[in-house]
Amino acid sequence: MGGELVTASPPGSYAHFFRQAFPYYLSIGMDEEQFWDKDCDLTRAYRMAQSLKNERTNRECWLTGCYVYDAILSASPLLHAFAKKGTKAHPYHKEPYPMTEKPRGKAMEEPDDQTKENERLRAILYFQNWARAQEKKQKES
Amino acid sequence: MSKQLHLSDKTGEYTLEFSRRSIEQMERGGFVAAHIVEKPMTVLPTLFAGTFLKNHRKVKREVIDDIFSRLKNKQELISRLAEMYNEPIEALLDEPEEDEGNATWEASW
Repeated sequence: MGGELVTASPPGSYAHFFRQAFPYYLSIGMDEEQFWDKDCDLTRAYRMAQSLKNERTNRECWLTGCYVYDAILSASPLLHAFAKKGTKAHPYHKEPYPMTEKPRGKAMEEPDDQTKENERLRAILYFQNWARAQEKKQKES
Repeated sequence: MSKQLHLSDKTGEYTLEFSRRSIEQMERGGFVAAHIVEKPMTVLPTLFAGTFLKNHRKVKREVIDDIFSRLKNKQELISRLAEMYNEPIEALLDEPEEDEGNATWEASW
């Protein structure tokens, strides 16, 4: 069998073309039997799968870039040459970016305890300020 | 799914198709598709016999030639065989992407 793989075939013949294409298909995961003996249409599926794989790798690289960019932005106050003493870095993401709509929706539906407390204090402050402003108005009039 | 011919005969049921290896073996045995116009009487039975290599390797050439001689509608069969023969190489070629610059063609028959 090994001998067949190195036998020269005349240029222009189909076999010559197959032999030229064979290493590429080996490189994208097809095995020798699939290429030579199985359904010849498999090569299309392998090419398509490889194209999806390339796209996924590209997205992963892009995502890594996004995280690195965010990390640099978070640390940027510290990187400032004339930063004041005690300057802190901005907080980095507590969780990774949501990949699907579900976690994104979940995050919107259920605020955590800290967020709830912040909302409560903000509302109290708003109403206290509003009441103070009303009192001031009444005194002036 | 690759193109197949299903053949029923008194000698048995056959699923005929080409693989890259069977085409390679045919070419190694001297088959040249381009000779189909010059020597149709020898090339066509050989082309037909090549379809047995993948799934029915043990069927003798005399039996295959006998089946071929008894087949009806050979004109249609030959065009089908040609399509089947070309399929393994077509599956290696990418279709050009859809865009306005592509040339188009249409058959008149």
